[in-house]
Amino acid sequence: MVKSSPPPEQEMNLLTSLRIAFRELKGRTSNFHILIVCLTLGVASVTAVGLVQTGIEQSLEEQGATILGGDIEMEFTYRYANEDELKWMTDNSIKISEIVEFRSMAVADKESAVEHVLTQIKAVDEIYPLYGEIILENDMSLDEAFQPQNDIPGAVMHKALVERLGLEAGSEFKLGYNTFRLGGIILREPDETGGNFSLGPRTMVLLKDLENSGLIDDGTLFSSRYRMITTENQDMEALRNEAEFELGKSFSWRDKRNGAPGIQSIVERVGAFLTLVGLAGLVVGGIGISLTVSTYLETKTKVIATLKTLGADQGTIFLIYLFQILVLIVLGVVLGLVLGVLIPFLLESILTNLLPVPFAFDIHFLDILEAAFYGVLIGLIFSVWSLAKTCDIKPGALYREASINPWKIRLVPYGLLLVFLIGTFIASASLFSGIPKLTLYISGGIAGTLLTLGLIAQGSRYLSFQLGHSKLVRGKISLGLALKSIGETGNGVISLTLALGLGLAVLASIGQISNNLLRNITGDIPQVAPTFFVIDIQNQDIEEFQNLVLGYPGVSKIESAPMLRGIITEVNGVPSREIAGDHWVLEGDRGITYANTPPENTIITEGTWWNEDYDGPPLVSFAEEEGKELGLQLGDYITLNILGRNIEAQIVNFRTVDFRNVGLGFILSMNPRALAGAPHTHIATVYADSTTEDQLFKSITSKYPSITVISVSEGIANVSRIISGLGSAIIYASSITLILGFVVLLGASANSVAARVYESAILKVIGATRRTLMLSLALRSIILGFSASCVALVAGIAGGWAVMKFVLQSSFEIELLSGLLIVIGGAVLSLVASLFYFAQPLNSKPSTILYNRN
Amino acid sequence: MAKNVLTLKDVFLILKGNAGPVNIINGINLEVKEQETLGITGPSGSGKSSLLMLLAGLEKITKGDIVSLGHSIARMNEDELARFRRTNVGVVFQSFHLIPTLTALENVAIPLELAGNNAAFERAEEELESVGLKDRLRHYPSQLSGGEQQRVALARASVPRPSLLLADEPTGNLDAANSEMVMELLFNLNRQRGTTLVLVTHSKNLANRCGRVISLQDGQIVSST
Repeated sequence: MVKSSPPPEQEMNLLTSLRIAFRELKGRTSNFHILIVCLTLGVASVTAVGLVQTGIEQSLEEQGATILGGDIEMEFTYRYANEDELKWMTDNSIKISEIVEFRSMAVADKESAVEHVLTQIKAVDEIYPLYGEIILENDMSLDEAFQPQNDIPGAVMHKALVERLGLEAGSEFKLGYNTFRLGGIILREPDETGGNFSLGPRTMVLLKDLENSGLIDDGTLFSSRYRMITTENQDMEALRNEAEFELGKSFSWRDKRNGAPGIQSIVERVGAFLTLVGLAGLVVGGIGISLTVSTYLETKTKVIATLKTLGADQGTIFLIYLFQILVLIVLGVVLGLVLGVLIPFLLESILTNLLPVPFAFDIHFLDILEAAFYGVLIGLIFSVWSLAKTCDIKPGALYREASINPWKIRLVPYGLLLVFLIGTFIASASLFSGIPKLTLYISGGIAGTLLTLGLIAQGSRYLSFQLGHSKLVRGKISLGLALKSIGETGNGVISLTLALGLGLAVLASIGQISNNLLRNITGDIPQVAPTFFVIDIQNQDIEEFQNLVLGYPGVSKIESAPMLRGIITEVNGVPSREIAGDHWVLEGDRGITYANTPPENTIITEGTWWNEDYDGPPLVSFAEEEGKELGLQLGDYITLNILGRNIEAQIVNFRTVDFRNVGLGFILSMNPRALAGAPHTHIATVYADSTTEDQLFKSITSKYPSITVISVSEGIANVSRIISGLGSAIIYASSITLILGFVVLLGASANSVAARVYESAILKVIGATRRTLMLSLALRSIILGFSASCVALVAGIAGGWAVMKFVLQSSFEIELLSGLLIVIGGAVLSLVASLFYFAQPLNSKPSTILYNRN
Repeated sequence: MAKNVLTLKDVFLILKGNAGPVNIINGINLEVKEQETLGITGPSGSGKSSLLMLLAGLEKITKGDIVSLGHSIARMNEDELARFRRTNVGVVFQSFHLIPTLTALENVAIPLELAGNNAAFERAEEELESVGLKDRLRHYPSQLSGGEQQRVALARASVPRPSLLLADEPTGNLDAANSEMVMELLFNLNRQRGTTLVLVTHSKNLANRCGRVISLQDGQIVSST
């Protein structure tokens, strides 16, 4: 009789494998704490960062018009819109609101002293705000706050400014020559996120109340903004093109599609970077996963050998354990997703107040899906190798200690599967992060670090093996044992080195970043920086101003220059954006000065300065570094829009401009005739000693109410707050990677120590004291720690450089001391972790350990 | 008159188990003389191996006292016991318990290295030669047969020239030929070096070669021949 054919092999494998997998796994999840913790934390961080980023981006998008203050905003530098421009705006909108912004000094004349504090003035019209609502303290309306009392108009201020000026409700203060009354305190402006970077807290007044204040005269540094409400479904791009075509490119345009482009770009950049940090954390966690899986499968050697004896083929064995690991991966990922959703949900109110951008929590399935995808991929990537090793376990392992080459893997199908998974991970991270270049750098950095660490671990093992068995260490029992245990086969040393090295590399990177941030903010600047920037010095006042300042014996130097601002619109007749994209020099208006002769200490690198009495077509001197970045050459023509007028000037020289000393640095300097007639003011830098600083400040601000004095130390403090905030965000987000690194380190230490416990029991039987054993373990940890630390230091420096250059776009210097300290600290931590795990077995009875081994 | 190498006075070993305390050794009194060979027999679970562990100082007694070579080992802490074993007591296990990462020579040299002996490796080599393993010096435990591993373990136990050698089922994992070889080596140590030998065994053959045999039942000595 012919028997029926068996079911297809694959189907049998799958079903059988599933059945056996679940039966064997039942109730044994306690072996997988490290795997689950690593995946949970890694996935949670990626989920949380994704949700917060999308929450911010969505809020920015939804509130685009509110953040901008209108559907469209056209901004003009140092002037109001002319008739043509106003007509175009009226023709193309339903409603227009006009505001003017500039910096000035708010002056409070109190009985005890006169307080002068820098403020960012926003002068608005009666219909401000077009969208949203301004919130003042005590639920006061803006109209109410602006109401004049005894003919003194009202103004509103941010609380910080009110406190610094020592004002109370109803107190009077001056802006320029005009007196105002404190009408209210600003709690939130609807359009504050979309505003420009501000050096001082805000004062808001009605535009008409600034008349005769002397603050918005010709040539003073102000910008006028016209916010418009357009008809619904207006095509913004078409409107912009039309405006540029009809009016020329003499304005900056923003519309509700992207109400806060600067913020949007920062959110995107920082968010993408934090996602990458999260992914790096997942990779660190991956080492923990790999360690857990390989340790678990080692304990299953006899079971696998038995199953093979009973007829299980390689595929079935692979599937049994793949299913088991998959169950655990899914468990870790689900827990991570839940935690990742809970973090922004629970912190929503804190984040809303803390973040300078709008944020609303919502569940975005794409972010959750992305995090889950990464989690599963990392789980599989770090399990496949160990799972593939199960195929090499022979039934003979039942009666003989079997050794499997940990470095050998069957290329087909497991090697190919691994390559596919890694490729998918890198490709999707590049795609989803939106910063493929940095993703590839970071992936390359991580891969390079892992590879180097792997090679170093192998090298350490080889050297330790040779040295440990050489005559050199005879008689040095602890050292000999330490070296021999490092040199033994098995992957304990590799895992420990990888976990320790990658964790320390992240730590070293953070050290490099924070120290470089600190150095950039506070390092070079104080030695050469001026004490004050003084702006809006009128032409007629400049000479008297210089005399006043130089009359103080504590003033070592004063530099001044005429200053206008303009936008580079074209290079050799081609729109500048087509030449150099989004280079910062082309992004907005730039300071322009003029001079007959090169200012003192000017270094001309190419070309020559014009003659003192030159009276020909406009010529320009360009900053060398920026000129090179823009691809400019001597003889090129650039078109500048200054106060609405286009001036075409030829580049006749390039000169070095060093912005690092915070002195006067102009990208553009022109011949005086080119700017003849253009209204302008002067800017000055004053270098004074600390004893003169206060007195000089008061003297200038009292004598010239319309002049604005900016304290450099305050400015630096403002900038440092912003940069430190950014740095802190990176450090906080990186801390998850550190925690993961530490979890993995603990796991690796526990695993590594477990192998030492049996050896220690035997050594105790033959006379080794606890001191000898402890010393041996300590030496082992130090040797491993040292080799991993060296690689981590190099990787940390490279990582720090990449983040400073590509994310923070700042300069970088190697901070060797911090790197060394962090690395040594990390190595000590690893030593402590090893000794911690060893303490208990060290005090255990050897007989128990040996019996259990039997 | 021969001196006592071991004196056990009313020794108890009570271990805590999940179901309450378990009496492993129940008030054993025993004396073992210098150069004596003592066999300990009894059914599984009678406390033979536990008694041997107590004699080696690898288990702490719950009550009573054990005096080994004139020292009360019950009062020693773990490190004192380790130092004491280093030069005075050798232990051989049924499962050999060699350090897998060390060669045969290194395994044997370790107790001498621990004792600070400068000629550790020369003496280890001689000891391995004396057990017939001159050709296996650089081999790792995994590269040796069971019989060879046990001979390395025996060499490791005997190399410091201990006065007392304790062996727990030393031939339990070996075939007849290897068992015979190991037995011969053990008793040679007694004959040639005067080492006192205490063996736990199920093997009648091995027990019969001992000068005295005690039998345990429920942690007590039930016979002595």
